[in-house]
Amino acid sequence: MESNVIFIQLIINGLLIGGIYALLSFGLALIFGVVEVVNFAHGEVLMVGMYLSYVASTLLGVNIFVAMFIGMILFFIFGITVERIIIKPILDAPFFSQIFATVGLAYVLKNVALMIFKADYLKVKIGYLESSFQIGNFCFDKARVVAFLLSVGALLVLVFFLKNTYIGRAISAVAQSKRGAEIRGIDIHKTYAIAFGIGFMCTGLAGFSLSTIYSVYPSVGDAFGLIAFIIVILGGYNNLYGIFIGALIIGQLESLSGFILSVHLKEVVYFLVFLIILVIKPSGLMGGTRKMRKRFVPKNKTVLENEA
Amino acid sequence: MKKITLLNNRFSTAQKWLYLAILLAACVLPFVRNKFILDIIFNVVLFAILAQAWNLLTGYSGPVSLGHVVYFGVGAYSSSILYVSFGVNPWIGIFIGAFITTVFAGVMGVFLFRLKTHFFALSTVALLFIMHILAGYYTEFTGGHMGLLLPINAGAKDMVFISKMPYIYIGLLILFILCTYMYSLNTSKFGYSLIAVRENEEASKAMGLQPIFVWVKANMISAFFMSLGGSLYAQYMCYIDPESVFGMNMSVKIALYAIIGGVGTVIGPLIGSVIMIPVEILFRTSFGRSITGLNMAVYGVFLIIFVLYAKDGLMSICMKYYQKLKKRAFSETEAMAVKAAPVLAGLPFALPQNDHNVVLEIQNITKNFGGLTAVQDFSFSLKTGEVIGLIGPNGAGKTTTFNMITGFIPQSSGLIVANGHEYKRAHPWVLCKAGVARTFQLVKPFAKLSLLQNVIIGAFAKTRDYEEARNTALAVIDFVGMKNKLDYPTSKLTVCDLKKLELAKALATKPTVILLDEVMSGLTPMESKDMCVLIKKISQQNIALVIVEHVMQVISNTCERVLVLNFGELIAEGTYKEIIENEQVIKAYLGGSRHYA
Amino acid sequence: MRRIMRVMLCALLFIGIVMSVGAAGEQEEGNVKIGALAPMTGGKALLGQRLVQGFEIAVDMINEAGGVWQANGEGKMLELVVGDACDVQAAMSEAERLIQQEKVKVIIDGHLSSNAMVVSKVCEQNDTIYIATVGIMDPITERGYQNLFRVTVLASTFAKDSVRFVEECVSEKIGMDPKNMRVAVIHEDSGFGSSVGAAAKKAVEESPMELVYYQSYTSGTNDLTSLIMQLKDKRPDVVVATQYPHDGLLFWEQAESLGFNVPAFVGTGAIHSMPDWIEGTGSKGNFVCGYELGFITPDNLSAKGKALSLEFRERYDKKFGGFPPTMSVIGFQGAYTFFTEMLDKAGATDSAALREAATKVDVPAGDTIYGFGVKFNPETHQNDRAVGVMYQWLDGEFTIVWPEDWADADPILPMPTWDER
Repeated sequence: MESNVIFIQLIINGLLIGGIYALLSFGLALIFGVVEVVNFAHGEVLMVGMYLSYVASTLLGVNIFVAMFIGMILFFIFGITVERIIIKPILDAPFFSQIFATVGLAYVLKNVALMIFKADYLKVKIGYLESSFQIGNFCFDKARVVAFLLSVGALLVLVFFLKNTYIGRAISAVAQSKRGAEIRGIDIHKTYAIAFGIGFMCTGLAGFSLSTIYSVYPSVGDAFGLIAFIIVILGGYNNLYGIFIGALIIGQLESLSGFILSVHLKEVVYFLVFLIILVIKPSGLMGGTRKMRKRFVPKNKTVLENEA
Repeated sequence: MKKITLLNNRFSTAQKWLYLAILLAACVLPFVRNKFILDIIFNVVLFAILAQAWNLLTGYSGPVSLGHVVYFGVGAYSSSILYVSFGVNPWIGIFIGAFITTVFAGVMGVFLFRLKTHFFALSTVALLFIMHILAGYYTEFTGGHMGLLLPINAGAKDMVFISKMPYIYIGLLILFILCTYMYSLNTSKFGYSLIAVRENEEASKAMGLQPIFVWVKANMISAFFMSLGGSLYAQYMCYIDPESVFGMNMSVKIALYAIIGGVGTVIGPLIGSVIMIPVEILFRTSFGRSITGLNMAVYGVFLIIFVLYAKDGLMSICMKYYQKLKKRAFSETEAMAVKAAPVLAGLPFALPQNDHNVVLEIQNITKNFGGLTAVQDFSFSLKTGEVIGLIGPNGAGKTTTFNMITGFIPQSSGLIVANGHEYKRAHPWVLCKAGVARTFQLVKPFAKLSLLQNVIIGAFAKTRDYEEARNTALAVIDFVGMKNKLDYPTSKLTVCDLKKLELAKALATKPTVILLDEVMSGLTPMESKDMCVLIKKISQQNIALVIVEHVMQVISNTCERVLVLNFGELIAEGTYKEIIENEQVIKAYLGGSRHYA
Repeated sequence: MRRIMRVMLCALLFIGIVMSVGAAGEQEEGNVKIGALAPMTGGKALLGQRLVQGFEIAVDMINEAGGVWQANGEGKMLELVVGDACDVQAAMSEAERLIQQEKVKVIIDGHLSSNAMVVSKVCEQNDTIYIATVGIMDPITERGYQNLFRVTVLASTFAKDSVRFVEECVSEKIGMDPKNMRVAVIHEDSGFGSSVGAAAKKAVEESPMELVYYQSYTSGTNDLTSLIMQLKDKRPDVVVATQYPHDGLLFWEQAESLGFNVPAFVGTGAIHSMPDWIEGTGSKGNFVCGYELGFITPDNLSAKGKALSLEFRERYDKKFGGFPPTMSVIGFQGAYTFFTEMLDKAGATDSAALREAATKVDVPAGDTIYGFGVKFNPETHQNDRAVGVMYQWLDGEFTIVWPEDWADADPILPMPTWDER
């Protein structure tokens, strides 16, 4: 009986963690799926979100939901700015320029945070989100449940948005086929910018949510960034449902292997799983039927200049 | 495996000066007493080695390895564990460690290089994280997060020195060997392979290169040197732990130094290290303490700026400043090549006149894409020196057939027989070696190289010797009539030149049959005529040709036989005259019965 | 010709940069330079900065009293030169810089035991005296270095003493026979955590108590749920934990949300003895015990110790504001003892004189702010008198509860459950 309780608690933990991981992956998926640029600064954008949350709620005393709302707008602008300044010039550049431009951004963000806030581990304290509640024998951490719900909410909103609004459909179109979208009159560059904006917005939201659960410090983005990548690649970067499920799976893997194997090795487990799956199926678990683009296809050229 | 080619009087100027600089450093060193400065110098030399090793893989051959420091760490731990736990003397242990790391790199490479570029980069990061965690976990073995301590009083026999200088000398030696190796790549098959797969993966496959194999080899060599660096570091610090040798920061730093100096060049990473490390220390001592993180933030900004505006690093800025051509990797050797260009009548490898063998036979090949059958049961055979045309309306399956014959897509069923061998599923490099060459409709030159170098890559398909490859290339270039453009960068070539270059590359692989993919597209009528003459010339060398074309004049001019495809099936075969009268052919093209003049 | 220019330019640039870096730092006559190394940036910066605050106050006190070597009639001022040892490579580089450029003859260090390993090697090779005020890993003093002196407690003492507290005091308070007690030992896996944790494990195994769980975890982790689940499964009576701030607070918070209750929680450093603990956990953090070098209530010390303690508090408040954190106390006392007992009495900064002075150091217990005396073991140079005390957070106050001589209150155990705190 005892071990059943523990087991179910583990599953609950895994689901909650998974939901959180999903939330921080949506933004990356959007950017990755649409612009096809690997944003190595993703973890750092998350970190910025967490700091913003701290500043707003703890230093300025603003209600967290209000802060979240304003934060999302700020992040949208942040995303578009980054896209214009850093990403656009390197869309056609050799792949390593793309990587290092975002790696550079990551380092700048991380260290500016370090300069401003020092290395202290900061906590965002929201009174009513502290502690947990019990249902039967099982504990549910309030902050995590809220994050999980936010994650589900974000998933539904995004799916709706992508299907039912013009901008959303434009983004999906570009994600599926840049050429096709161009021919239909969609402005690719604007779409990229908007995708970045929305992607950062989601990530900022995730940052707010995560700040209620984890401590905030400059390097907090490292691990989360990598997890987000793993989930996006496993879940198929153009499939939001797939990402949610992928995130839940990763959460379970972590929760169960942490208990059964060893606290240390839980990260190794999902990294290994990640590597193994990539090697077996390079397009990701649910990567689907999308044709793999060739490696150095320039993204800035129009249809006629560039045929695969 | 790692043959270091020393060219007696072929050292380029830059290379000579580099050696002089190293020699100078080695001589001046004993007079430096200040240990703090010695520490800086050691770090410069160490990072120069690491940045250079990284440069070999990423700068020279393409895949971006973000977690490359993993090999540094494996090397450091290997030699240290061997020493501390098993008593293996580090002078030997350093090489055993390097061997272990090289094998590790090879195994990882075989799996990871299958991944697309950004997946590959991520996977190297994941690998680094995994090794970091494992190093911290197996405490009895590695000392865990407490780290591994090496005895500091062991003495020179155990590669532990009181003074820092011996370490620096060892480092300089490793650096010297590595740089010499890198320079030797200028005139080696492997060196050319690296650049080829980096510049144009598809084209390199048609030149007989197997990209994964090239990358794995580069990774292994790179890892070897990373490992040497790691072991040296361990002996120097006498203490290693997962954070210091499996750290992501270090991985980014070595990439940064190489980028700032100039990837793809030999001196670049060295310049990067020489400049950046003292700068970093200056920063830390003047700024770092009062404004935490400022130095790394500035690094990040550097990285962005360099990547956006100077991605070829300081080397290229220097180059531009001195008004030379955009930095190419092998500039010196071409000047010598131009001087030595021979005058030849025909190709030195023309096949004998009386050879009437079948050089290529296609037996019932079929290709299904899901429910759609693109090519159905197509067969034909080709004799030495024969020129046949393959035509058909759009969507007939010509391109699919073409790609199957050249190994770029697998056939669903059927056999390809080339050079007497049967292939159920052949890769392009295999077919290239078997004598089947191709050109690409959308030309795929190796962008950063000159005309001559492009063709040399083709020539390397059938030889390992640089001299031989160069001679073959020169002969081929002369044959196609571009002798005066030997050292032109591909950016300077016209469309017609580029098409001829495609042919030249294919010819250099000493094929028995060349498949031409719409080689006339984009050419003016005059140029087309020239091309036809060239095609005839080639067939006179007894090289068979399969020409896929839309321009009928060309077909009528050059082909002895014509095959017509429609909806994946062969609907007619015969001479040009015969097929243009063929009712079915006319119907396929025009959809009705009309005579085509 | 052009290439020659380029290569020469680079060489000149290199030499120029190196020279300029090398030129920094001249010897200012009249001051005795003391090098101080601590992590001033990076993850452990908090601890390092506080430590250096302690050093600074010690320097202030000496200088305001007229400096060192007054007995010889010299009265030289002390000058503290701080280096940033944020990671191992930086530690080595900074140590070299302090010795070569700044020409310090002594280095006092702060935190990160792994740094201490490297720095001590550098000091040994350069015949520079190295005072370890904090680094507690046992191996630091086990390598036979002549120039190394450790003022602080050994990791094994930390652990053994804590376990003794559990066996003697906790068992009595929760009303259990040690033979039946179930003890869990957890620790973060860096040098600090591992050495204390391993020693704690050994101590528990040598005691009549039962070790039911032993686990380490990565200190930078952001999730300890699996560990807590395993703990819940084992139902220990006491948890002995060695944790840094981040993981310690994380553990506590997640333990609460998973409903993990334990009768006694004994922290063997580092977070549990810092004011950040109660700040981070609020009232939920009460009743946790923490072992640390004691900041003994002045009245419990000797007259000399009391005077020192009060003066230190006053100076700290004036200079930095607020009540001094334990790290600063440790830093201060280590530096102060060194200045007054070794440096001043040696009359010079050369290592032989300092080593000689070290053999004569004999500070009785009660004369220092943290209660224990100082006497360096002639072989290992470890301060054999170093010992800590056990605190407990009661009502938001860090109160010494054991041993009785220095205790300010009685420990209250078993801990109330989460809801009751």
